[in-house]
Amino acid sequence: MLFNSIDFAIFLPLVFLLYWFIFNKSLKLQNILILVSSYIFYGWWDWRFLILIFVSTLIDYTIGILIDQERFRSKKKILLVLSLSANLGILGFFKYFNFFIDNFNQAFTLLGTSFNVSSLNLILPVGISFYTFQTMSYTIDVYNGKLKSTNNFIDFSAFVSFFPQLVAGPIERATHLLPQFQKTRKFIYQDAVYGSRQILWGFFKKLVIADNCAEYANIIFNNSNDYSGSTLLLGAFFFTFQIYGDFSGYSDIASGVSRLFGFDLMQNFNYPYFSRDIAEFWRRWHISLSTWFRDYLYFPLGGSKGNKYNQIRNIFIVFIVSGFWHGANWTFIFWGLLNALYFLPLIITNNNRKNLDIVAEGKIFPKLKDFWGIIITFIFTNLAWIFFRADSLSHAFSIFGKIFSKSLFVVPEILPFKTIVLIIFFVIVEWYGRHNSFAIKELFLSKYKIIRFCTYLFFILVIFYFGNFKENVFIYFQF
Amino acid sequence: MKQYIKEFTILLILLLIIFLGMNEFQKKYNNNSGHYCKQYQELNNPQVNANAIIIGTSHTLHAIIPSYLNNNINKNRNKKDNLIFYNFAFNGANPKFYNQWYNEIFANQYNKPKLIIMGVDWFIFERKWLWRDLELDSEYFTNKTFYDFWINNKNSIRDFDRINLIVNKFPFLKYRQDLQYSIKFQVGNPDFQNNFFDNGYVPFNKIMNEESSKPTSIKTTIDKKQLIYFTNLIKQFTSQNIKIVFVSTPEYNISLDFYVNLESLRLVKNIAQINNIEFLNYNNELRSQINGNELLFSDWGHLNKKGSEEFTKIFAKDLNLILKNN
Repeated sequence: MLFNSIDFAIFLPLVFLLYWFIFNKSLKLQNILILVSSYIFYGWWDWRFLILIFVSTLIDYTIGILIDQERFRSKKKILLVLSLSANLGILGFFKYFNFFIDNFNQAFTLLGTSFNVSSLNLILPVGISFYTFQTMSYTIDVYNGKLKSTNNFIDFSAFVSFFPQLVAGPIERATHLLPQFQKTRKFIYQDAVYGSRQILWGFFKKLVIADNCAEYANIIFNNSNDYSGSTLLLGAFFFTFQIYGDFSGYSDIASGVSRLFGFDLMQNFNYPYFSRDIAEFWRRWHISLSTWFRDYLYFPLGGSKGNKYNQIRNIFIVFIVSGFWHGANWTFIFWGLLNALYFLPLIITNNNRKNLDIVAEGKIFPKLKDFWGIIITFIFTNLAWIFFRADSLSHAFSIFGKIFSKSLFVVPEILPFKTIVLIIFFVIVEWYGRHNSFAIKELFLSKYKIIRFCTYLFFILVIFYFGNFKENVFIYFQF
Repeated sequence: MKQYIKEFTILLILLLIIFLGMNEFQKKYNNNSGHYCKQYQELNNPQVNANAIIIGTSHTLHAIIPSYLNNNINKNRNKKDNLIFYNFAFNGANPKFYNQWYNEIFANQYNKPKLIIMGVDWFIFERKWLWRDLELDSEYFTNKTFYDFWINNKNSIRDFDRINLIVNKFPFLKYRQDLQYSIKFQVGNPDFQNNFFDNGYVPFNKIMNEESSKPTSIKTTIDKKQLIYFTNLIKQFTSQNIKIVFVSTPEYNISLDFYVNLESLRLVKNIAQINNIEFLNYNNELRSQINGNELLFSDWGHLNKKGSEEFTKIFAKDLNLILKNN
């Protein structure tokens, strides 16, 4: 079920009313409602996906209990490895099996022998990368003693399948989200208002920014041979806003919907395009995934302990694995590698933890140095997104070749004025609201209800008149 | 909770008021041609009571002037045999559209015609060019027709997209992406001269330029479903003893070879021969000085006002001959 669909527009109010008016008598009933609703939400795509999520839930629920019951560290480790193997096995099979088979076949062909293993006709279950990582964080935290296992299967299943964040994150930690299922939730007016505003902002980002940019990014990338370097650069620019609007929009809707039910999700995006360097960008982009890799891969590898070589090695491993997490294609791996290369100078010069504050906090304009930092970081991430979007490495390199050619200095063949104006408006609103968890959280906050209502109506009408309602799937569903 | 629900409800009510206002505003101010509205008005509340109708695409709509036909065809006819023409051609209309339109709306609201002049263009079976679905006209349906389509959507002809039925019923939804015309208080599409509306016909007046003087593509495919709809429509008309005449209206400056080799026109010619239907092809056998005269065209496929006047006179003569011989 897509957030931007009529089905969800009916589903959400129904669940909301049942949750607060019928099932509010008991925490257990509310959690059962969440669980059933989440399974309906997920099964709406394909009921067969439910088998997989159920199996994943059952495995980690059981292993969590067994780890806690086990006295010996070595046996706890075996159980943890079992959990990780099961989760990564499921993920690996559905997401990466065909990638490895195709590359395996190609490698043998290059060596001059024919070894044809057939690939399988597999459907990638929506959100598999997200919920497997979420359940793995549970067993790892139980193993590390950060969390006690739960013996309440309903609570645990609801945590794993929680519909607002099931298919595209944020990837919640069990230490943060699971306890929220275990305590009574009360309807708090201010939370519901913030949640509603966040949903509104999420839809603005998705329907107005992302889906309008997608139209042009797709035309340009799908016909890249026909366009000049300047148009291709513009295509990359549109994709930059498409992926941000799409993904952060989804996260905003997820977070806003969760607030309506009394849940608090972690912030997944923190104005990444206002970053002054690439390290700051990665502290602000897809925070739930980058912190997951930091805590469960980077730190266990040694993190920044030891010598510089180890630190650099660990950074590269994390970025390459992160790229690979996004998809079974060399373009994603290369994208990860490119970001690691961007990171390298900051690591070598120990400047990776320089910009920890909010840029130009309390001021309207940034300092000139910060401004240039933002522009340069934006350009570098923009160029990296080309690999993310391209169909193949050769496609990406051909685009690069054209961008860095004389045709960069011609007027773009496509120049959609309306979309560019919308992007400028969006950037201004984000800049103005950058100190909040989402841009319009306290926009035009006034004691006068009429002004607040006018603001809401303004955004709703902008979404209505400028939004693209072609039911475009969120990009991160494919991961 | 009460406060939240109260405020949410107030917001929804305000939104509804705004949308109702926008609905009325955009009903009047939009970029859509006003002629569809008048054509459907005639269907819903017959005033002309035509017994000879013209159907087809925009090429036909902007080419044949009913009053010219009325004046020329009925000169030597008995009054009781007079033909009253109405142009029910619609922009982008395809055989599926006419199947549904004729059976679901026309047959229930209008008298059975004696004569149907059917515009057949070389792209008649090209679904990508002929975009019109009946749902797109839901704004003009009577309420009874609309509810009937919405509720009873199950038979072989009805296959309506309910979302499109609703979206096109309400101007604020239908013209959502035409806000720039509404805020300029634009009434209708200025390319269509509604002040010269003539029993369904409306002139299409633009100045032809280099780009518009050639079709965007000369490749066309045969959509098998459209071909089946077309064949069924012909069967239906012939079974009801309705006289049919096919006409391909003049197009600008496309070589004769192009028309001769077209599969779509070969199929139409076949169907015409099997069903004993006269086929007046003004791009092929009946090519004239009109085809080469750029002053008579708005673009490669549409005659302008002067062109449609010239053409209708010629067409009326040829139609007279056919009707005399039958």
